[in-house]
Amino acid sequence: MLPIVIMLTLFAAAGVIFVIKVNVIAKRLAIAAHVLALALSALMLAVTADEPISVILGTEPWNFYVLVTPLDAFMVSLFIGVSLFILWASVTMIDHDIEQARIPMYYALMCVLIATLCGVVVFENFFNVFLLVEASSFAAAGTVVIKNKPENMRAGLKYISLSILGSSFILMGIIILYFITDSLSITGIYASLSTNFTDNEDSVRNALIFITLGTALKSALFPLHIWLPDAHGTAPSPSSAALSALVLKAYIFLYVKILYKAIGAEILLNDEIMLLTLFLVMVTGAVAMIAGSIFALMQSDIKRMIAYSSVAQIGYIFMGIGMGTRLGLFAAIFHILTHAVTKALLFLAAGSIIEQTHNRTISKMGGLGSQMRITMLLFTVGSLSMIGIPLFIGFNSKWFYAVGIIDSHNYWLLGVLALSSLLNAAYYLPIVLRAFFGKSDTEDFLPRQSLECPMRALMPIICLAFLIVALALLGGPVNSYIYMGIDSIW
Amino acid sequence: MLPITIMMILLVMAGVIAAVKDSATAKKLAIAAHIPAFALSAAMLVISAGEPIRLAIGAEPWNVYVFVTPLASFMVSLFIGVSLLIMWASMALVNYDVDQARIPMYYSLVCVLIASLCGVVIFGNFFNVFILMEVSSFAAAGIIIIKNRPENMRAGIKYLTLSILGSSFILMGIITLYFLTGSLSVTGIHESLVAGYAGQEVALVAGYTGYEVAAYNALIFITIGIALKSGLFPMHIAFPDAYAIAPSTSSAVLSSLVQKAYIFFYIMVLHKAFGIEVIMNDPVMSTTLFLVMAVGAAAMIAGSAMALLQTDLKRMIAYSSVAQVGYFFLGVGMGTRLGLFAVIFHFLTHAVTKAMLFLVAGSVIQQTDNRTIDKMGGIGAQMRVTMALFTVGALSMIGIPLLIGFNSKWFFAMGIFESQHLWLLGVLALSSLLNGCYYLPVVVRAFFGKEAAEAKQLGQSLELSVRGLVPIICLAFLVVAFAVIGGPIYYINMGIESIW
Amino acid sequence: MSFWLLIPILLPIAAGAALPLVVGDNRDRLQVYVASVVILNTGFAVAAAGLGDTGFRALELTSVINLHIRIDDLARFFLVLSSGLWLLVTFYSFGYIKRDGRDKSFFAFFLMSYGAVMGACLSGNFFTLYLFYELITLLAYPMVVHSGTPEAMKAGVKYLMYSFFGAALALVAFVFVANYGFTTDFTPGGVLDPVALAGNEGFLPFVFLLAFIGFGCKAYIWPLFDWVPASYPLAPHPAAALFSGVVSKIAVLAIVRTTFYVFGVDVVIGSWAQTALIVITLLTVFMGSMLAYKEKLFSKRLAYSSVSQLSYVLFGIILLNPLAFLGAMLHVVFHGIIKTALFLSAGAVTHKTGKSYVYELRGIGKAMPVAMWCFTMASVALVGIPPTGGFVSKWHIATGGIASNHPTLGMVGAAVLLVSALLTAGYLVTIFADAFFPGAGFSYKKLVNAESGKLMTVPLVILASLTLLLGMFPGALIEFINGISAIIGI
Repeated sequence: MLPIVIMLTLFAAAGVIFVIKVNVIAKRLAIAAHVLALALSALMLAVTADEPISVILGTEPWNFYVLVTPLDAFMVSLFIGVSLFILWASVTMIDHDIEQARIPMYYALMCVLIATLCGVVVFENFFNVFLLVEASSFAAAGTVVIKNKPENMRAGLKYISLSILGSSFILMGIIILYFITDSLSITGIYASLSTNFTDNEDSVRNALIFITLGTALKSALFPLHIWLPDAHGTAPSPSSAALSALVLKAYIFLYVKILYKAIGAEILLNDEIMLLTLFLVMVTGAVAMIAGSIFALMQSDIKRMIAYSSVAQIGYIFMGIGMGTRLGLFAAIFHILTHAVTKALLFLAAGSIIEQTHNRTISKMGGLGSQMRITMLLFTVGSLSMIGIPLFIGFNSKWFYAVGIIDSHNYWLLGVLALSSLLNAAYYLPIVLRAFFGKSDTEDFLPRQSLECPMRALMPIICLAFLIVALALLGGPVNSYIYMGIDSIW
Repeated sequence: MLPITIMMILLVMAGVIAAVKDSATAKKLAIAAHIPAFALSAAMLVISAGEPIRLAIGAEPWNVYVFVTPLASFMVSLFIGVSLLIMWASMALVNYDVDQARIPMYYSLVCVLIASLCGVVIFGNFFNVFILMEVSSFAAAGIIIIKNRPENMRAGIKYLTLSILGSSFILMGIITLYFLTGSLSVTGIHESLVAGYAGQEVALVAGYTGYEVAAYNALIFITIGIALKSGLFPMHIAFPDAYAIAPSTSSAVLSSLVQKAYIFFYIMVLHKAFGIEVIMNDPVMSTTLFLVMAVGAAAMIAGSAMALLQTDLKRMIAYSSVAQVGYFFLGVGMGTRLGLFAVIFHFLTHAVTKAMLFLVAGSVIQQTDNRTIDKMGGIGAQMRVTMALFTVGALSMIGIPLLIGFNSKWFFAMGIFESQHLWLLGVLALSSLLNGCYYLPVVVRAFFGKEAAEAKQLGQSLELSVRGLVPIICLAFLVVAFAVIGGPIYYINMGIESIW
Repeated sequence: MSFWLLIPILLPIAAGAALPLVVGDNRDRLQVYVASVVILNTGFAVAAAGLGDTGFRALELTSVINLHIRIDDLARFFLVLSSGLWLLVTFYSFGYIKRDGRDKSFFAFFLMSYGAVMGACLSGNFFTLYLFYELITLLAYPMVVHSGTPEAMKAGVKYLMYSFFGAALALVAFVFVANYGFTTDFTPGGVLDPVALAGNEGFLPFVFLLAFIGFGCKAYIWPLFDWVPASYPLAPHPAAALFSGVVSKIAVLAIVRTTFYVFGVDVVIGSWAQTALIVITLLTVFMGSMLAYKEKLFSKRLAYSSVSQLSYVLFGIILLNPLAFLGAMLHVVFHGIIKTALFLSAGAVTHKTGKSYVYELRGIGKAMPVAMWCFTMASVALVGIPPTGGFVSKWHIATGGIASNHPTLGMVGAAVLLVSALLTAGYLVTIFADAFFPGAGFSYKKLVNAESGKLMTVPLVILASLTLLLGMFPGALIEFINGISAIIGI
């Protein structure tokens, strides 16, 4: 029942917050719910390491079916943990972004969002999963439009419509699989396919292609990323952090589960068409790595730049999945972690810069390092991690990707990887260098008063930075946990 | 512990300097750090000549592993020695280029840079080396942009980005080697590769059937990465900007020291990790090396040709460095013992000569507030000693006997002969002629012609203070001394013997 | 004992470097200082020539790169010739060089060049020769650009580039010899090691050609003589005299060393390089004469004349037989004296009257009888009219050509020499004929005695009489040269 309890904790908190409508209590309650949920998810990590947790209510196919493997538990902990930091940071930041009256609503939405994301991960029945995917889409869109400005409305609409289109593609795929296998649970589909795949090759391939397209849309794989920069660029900074660091990952993770748990490695990796699909996913991922970075390079707005950087990072993850090897998948899962902590940090740091200086334009950030020393240092940590400098978690990702690439014999991707690091450097470093070495070009900055956020607001960002370094140096247990998780689904 | 001590002295002093925040003290401390470091590196020269120094902390592959061959200690002494002279000269030069408030930061960065360069050279674990390479890139970018002008910012960013691209390529290569051999130490990789090689003629990776391409890739990626990081033509684009715009003392450090650490790492990869006989017996790898050589030759000509087109003195010297980097790759690419010898000797040559030229250029710019070559007519009358030193450097670059540049040229010629690519002699000759074409006009204009006569009438001296001149004179002295003293030749020969 | 050989090299170099310190602004002291150094040094040079064959090494970096100072008959020959001519030009220069403040630097480099020339004469191995050859290039440069005009500066750069290019070619040969020779010390008969050379003999003629043309740059060989007409007219006349009379002879020395002491007659004789060089030298002889004949600028005409005359010498050398060698060496002496005399008398004219075109010189013989008589004397000798020196040398070269291993080319050579002699007569006789017989309509009234001072005329007279004396009594000289040919075993 552990996974259900976790979800219910968050849902309950959301409900209470929505009813009470007191800002301070909303904030505290949301955080309290997260702390509790995080503790439970840590417990779940330990439990699933020994044996998967399975909860079934009702009979197939229309039932509630929860199955938590170690990998799922890892994702749940990641979601709740990172979300906790984001909410913590949001306590001070959110007041600047949205109206007071909407703050309880915001926190309620955030709790719902995280709960649904956890649900997407832990449910085994596709119908359950699909409902939660839809719920999460609406919650996510809610955290974008809550800012109540015209551009937010536009971005939110764009986001929700494309997201629903993606959901429908995924639904098609699920329905096709259901028709072939008469099952809606992943385990059921897998069991059925292992006997009747040969009779339904084309249908399964179609299903895979539909699901791939749907996931690509929902997770903003280039060139289907068009909604992402708007949504992530205009949303309140904590929302951007959550959307970018967490939401995209849930759908990707679902995709991984479909590939390896529903269809299964032995079918997937022995069918030419599916292999080709995977290969295309990999190539598109590689293209996204470069294209996303090039777009990022052209941005003048810091949040849009970070948003485009997410497009590139999503490319990494798809590239890893598309390799169709264990090491590739490992790299992808690890990168989900890397990107979650790093991107959350970057969006939060960017958020506090915007909040303190009321400026989003990169070129006007010269000399900022002397006014917001700690914030900019934190931003530097995030940048170095994105570039892949050793001692930061981004480096570990890069390392695992390179190993995966060599293992899968796609050597040209090494060049893409290297080039992508260059591009990351090309758009993150100027901000850092300009902040610390450049001259401030606006006169009103001249009285060198500190513009630093209060320590209370900086603390969660510092924790994220600490995580970036700690996971890079002491990440051994995490690595082995992920390996174990992959072994359990392969 | 000796090599670690040397690094620690510099790093600790870097911390102290950053904390002190007083520019006069910072200068003194930086020099004070260099002196004991240099003394220790001299001791290391002697010790490592007997037997390489090895020191491993932790177990393979993720450990700290120091492996100091005689060549490595030669490099360490070169780095610290030349840096000491540059720091000394910087006492009179740095105020012109860097804000008073940033001077402690500047010296701190230089100490970090030199320490990390030493680290690149002495560590035997590629992961350690890689981290230090990254540190050195950032420190190097730091001493470019410290000047705090938009163009420095641009140049620094360009330099850093390309440097990071280079690092990424190198990393890809290192990871590939790690994947193939399960080891990150230079010796471990070699043993593992040779075990696969097992005396067979062609198949380097007999033990890694199916991964030959990976081994080739490792070499190619590392080659491209090093080429990027050390500014091999046509990947030099960031370098002339960086050298021209950085403070002159930084240009001296960057041009005469930084690139060499990376090229030395490349030599270690070729000769110690892969093993040169393995490379030369493999068709793909030997072709790679041949291309390195050919591109080096192209760089020698192209760098000089571009230097010829410059009007800014420092840019010209910077492009000259592009040509000189071509020399290094030419020698490395030969894959012969004499070729390697020429490269290591040229490290010495280029370090002292280019440091001297940049410092002279720096003092000219500082004293006259002019960087345009066309406007330097008659400067020899006002800065007699400075321009005489420039002349020494210029003649050395052209390869006049009894100056160290000639020895380099000679050793390269011998290497070319051994490698049987005789057409390269023509490249070598053309390159020294081109050196003449752009260095001599500066000298000629400074001392001869109408402007010189007019400047002489003015009679006012713009000479740098003696404090600033003495280190440059020391460098000039080294340019002559190393041309006639056999010590370095003997030592380098011994060092190469030990890694061959 | 052998260390005494260093004195004639180091004394002038040190004295030249110290000149600005010693003389200060006192012009009389300058003359005394320079004169005493040159006289002393000429004495040392002659004394060094009196030593037996001896030598020593210093700065021994490798077996190839070391300073090897050595005296033998060939060195004696060039040592005495160079130091003698230098002495005479020194006094002439006192009269010629203006006391304008830049004379200090002229004489400083004048002395240092003297040392470098002595060093080249006393070189015992390839490295030492190359070193001093480059030093001459550099140290003589300030004399070339003494006037400091933009045209002179341009010519100076041309001079430097041609010289460096020539030296680079020679260096290539040096590298070759270092690899394939027993040693690079000059050894009569050559140093090449047939065992080491096995398989690479094909390179030999090519490398020899490079060395010959490379060193030949300062002996004005085609295609590297273009700097001569550019720079001589702009250089002070004493400098041009030194270049033509002495420096070009050092190039000849270098070529003799390369041909007979490094490569060896056996290697060169009959090779295509020999044939090519015979053709090239004859071509240069003809071209030089033709260009001189057509040239109207006095000193440029003399420069082209030198181009032609030096190739007589080179032609004599490359024929590789004792007769021609004798002729060549005699021509070294005679041309050295004659061309110095010609340039000095031309200098006397231009210096006093400012006239520099040949058609301006009508009637000048009446104004400057001594200078023009010396000019006439030297011209007659250069044309080769008995009993002057020019006849003796040209006769031997021509007969040597016919007796050589290329009799046909030898005959052609003799014919070219004859034609060239006629052209020489054409371009020199007209000058002194016009000078003494200005023809009708020339007004003698305007004439004033423009004779130069004793400092300039006495050296001229000495040179002019030497051409006659040595031409009439060449016995000792011939014997000495035959001794050298016996040593090198032609």
